[in-house]
Amino acid sequence: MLIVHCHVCGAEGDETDFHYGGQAHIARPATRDPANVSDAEQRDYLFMRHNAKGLHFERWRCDRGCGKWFHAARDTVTMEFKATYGISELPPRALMEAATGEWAVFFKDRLAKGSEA
Amino acid sequence: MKSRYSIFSLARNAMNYHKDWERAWRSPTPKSEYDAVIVGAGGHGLATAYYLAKTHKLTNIAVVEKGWLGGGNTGRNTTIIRSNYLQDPSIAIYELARSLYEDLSRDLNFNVMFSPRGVMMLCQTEHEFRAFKRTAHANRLAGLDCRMITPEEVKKIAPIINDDPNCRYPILGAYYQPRGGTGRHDAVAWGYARGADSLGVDIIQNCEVLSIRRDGGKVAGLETSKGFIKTKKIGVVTAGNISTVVQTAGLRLPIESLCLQALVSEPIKPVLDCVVMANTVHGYLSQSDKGELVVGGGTDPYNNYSQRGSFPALEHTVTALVETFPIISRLRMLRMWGGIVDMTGDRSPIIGKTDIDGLYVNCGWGTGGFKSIPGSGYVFADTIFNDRPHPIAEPFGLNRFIEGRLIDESVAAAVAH
Amino acid sequence: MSDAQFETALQGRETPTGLTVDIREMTTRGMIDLRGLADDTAFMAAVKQALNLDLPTAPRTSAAWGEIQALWLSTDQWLILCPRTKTEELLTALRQALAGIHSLAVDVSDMRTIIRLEGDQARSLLLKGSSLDLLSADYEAGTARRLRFAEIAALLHIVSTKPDVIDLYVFRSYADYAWDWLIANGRTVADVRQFGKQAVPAT
Ligand SMILES: Cc1cc2nc3c(=O)[nH]c(=O)nc-3n(C[C@H](O)[C@H](O)[C@H](O)COP(=O)(O)OP(=O)(O)OC[C@H]3O[C@@H](n4cnc5c(N)ncnc54)[C@H](O)[C@@H]3O)c2cc1C
Ligand SMILES: [Zn+2]
Repeated sequence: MLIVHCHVCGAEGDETDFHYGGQAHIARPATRDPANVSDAEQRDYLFMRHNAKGLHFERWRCDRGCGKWFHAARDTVTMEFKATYGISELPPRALMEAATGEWAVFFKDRLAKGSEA
Repeated sequence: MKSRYSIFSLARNAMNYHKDWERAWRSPTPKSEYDAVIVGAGGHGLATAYYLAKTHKLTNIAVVEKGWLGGGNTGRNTTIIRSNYLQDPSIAIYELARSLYEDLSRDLNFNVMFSPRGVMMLCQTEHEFRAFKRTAHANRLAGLDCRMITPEEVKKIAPIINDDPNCRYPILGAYYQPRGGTGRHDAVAWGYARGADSLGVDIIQNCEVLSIRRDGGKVAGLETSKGFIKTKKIGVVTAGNISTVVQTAGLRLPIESLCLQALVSEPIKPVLDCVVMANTVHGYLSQSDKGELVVGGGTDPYNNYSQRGSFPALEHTVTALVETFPIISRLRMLRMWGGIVDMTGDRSPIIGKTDIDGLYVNCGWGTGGFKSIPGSGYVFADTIFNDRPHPIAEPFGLNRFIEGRLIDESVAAAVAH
Repeated sequence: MSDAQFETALQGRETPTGLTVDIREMTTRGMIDLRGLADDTAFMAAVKQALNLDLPTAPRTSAAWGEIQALWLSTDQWLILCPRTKTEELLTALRQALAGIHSLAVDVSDMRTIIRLEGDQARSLLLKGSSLDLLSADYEAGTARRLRFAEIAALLHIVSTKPDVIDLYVFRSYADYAWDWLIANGRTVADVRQFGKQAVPAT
């Protein structure tokens, strides 16, 4: 049983009070550049997932509380929540630096830029 | 060559108080090079090795396994075997597998306890009834022996079912595959292992693949916890751990790993001699030969590599089944466990070549790949040997996600394994 | 044409006897769903003008002025309670005050059914259907929060304590289910322990 903490309203509750929203930070290519979306980009958007073993970044909704979405960094082996952060934010810097595999690649530019998600 | 298991060998060994049985497979040390290496000694990996050796006479091959053979999802599953999926490519591969199961014990000289006791999928809403009717038509066109049955027939086949027409999800009928059923999960792994081993395949347990070594666009070999193994062909069949293995070669996959749980009750006298799946309420039930009721349901919702699920998922499953089978409400459950299942977006597997020469993947079986082990091993061996997809495997290639040619089994495979 | 008749969801149900908690349906309450941005001062001021109260901005709290109450539902959502007969008047006042301001006010009086629980066993009974630590100090008078109750979505409002008066809001279609659940579980003292704590002892 996960005990989840809502980043927005501070409610803490069982995982059944929350809704899992899958991998975080997936940008829809058609939003950015509707005229030029390759089949490969569309596949990446719809189906490719980082599937990290260890530190993972994901979306949760405070389903039985304030109803808002937020982000969480969670370890997929130990199940430990490392942090929660706003739905339009990037994770804390230390966690971006700690990310491995495909997430490390994903955060590389963002760490350099220090920009918003 | 191993001595055959038979009534005579049993009698002969009984004379010696069963002290002289030979080991079912060897524990070889890895050679420095093989013609092909399969990663993962689950059912799919072992079957692949078996058919490579048997059908294609490729015997200088190895299966490397980080734990013990059959210790992954193959040894954790609830053993439902059926082939009544919706889409034609699925019907082809699952029915190939199911028909191979019919004769597998004889082929392997190992009793895999295939028991075609019948599988029924309950219709508990109008919507579900229509969806299964659609599947029934598709299956009959494909020549499968399946049919819709009435609530009366359901009750006859499974008398313990709650047939109260006023309950929340009344039984409106069922979709029935009489030659579906169950098998013994460990025996399938053991049978293929023994078969492959006796044809010369090295099965190397306690040997974890740490990374795939590439030589430009092709594979060069495997870094393992027992040293480097050189090979030109690698078939990765590691289920929920597929992403971590192939990422070392720079390959990304449309897969997410979730935990799927199951549980068994204390053994009781026979009460149910078919498999019943109740997709609307999210649970399914069968009875093992030992008498335990085998219970399963849907996956836990979030990514998970821990082989340990969460309590609410089990509670949900058990609640559903108590509603459908009220007499089990006071049964004690003995064990629960989880496996890490490899889920694709269309709930169909990925079988075939990759962009890297010599690297083949067979994964994405998710919650329902026990039933497909013989068929999958058969077509994957052919694919690796000939370096082109077997016709039955072809639709399951990775490019379907680019081409949008999905094989959508999300309805047929959601809870129904 | 005859006039439409107002019927509450639990109108036909008899008041149960022999329960450890008194339960009854609250039938005369109007409800308005109010949405707007808490950090929009124009919005907050307009609401104050119409309702005569400051909307609560702390999570899971409520505020009251006379017959009007506001329950915090989310960072941008409140449930406004008033006598049923005054709903229309209040709604008109709100909409007028909020004209031109990014906001929403809708009469949702028929959306939810309210069941009032009264008595010392109210919390222990509710504990049977939820994972909240209702015995902790977090749940004092005035607390309002949404929750998963007996597998359904619900809203809890602790009206007053000693003895406990707690309003349970469920969607109208769940009213029968929730009512039956409370009756089934409220017959005997619900001595549940949570997080190692002792339930309120029966007196
Ligand atoms: C609870 C549960 C119930 C199920 N019920 C059914 C059912 O009723 N019917 C059905 O058809 N299917 C069912 N399934 C699905 C089925 O079990 C799987 O699809 C199938 O067993 C997958 O077989 P596999 O050989 O691909 O994987 P596995 O059996 O998991 O084998 C993969 C192997 O790879 C090894 N491995 C992983 N990483 C490495 C590495 N780095 N190096 C070396 N080896 C590695 C693992 O140790 C493992 O032994 C169920 C699954 C679960 C978990
Ligand atoms: Zn919240």
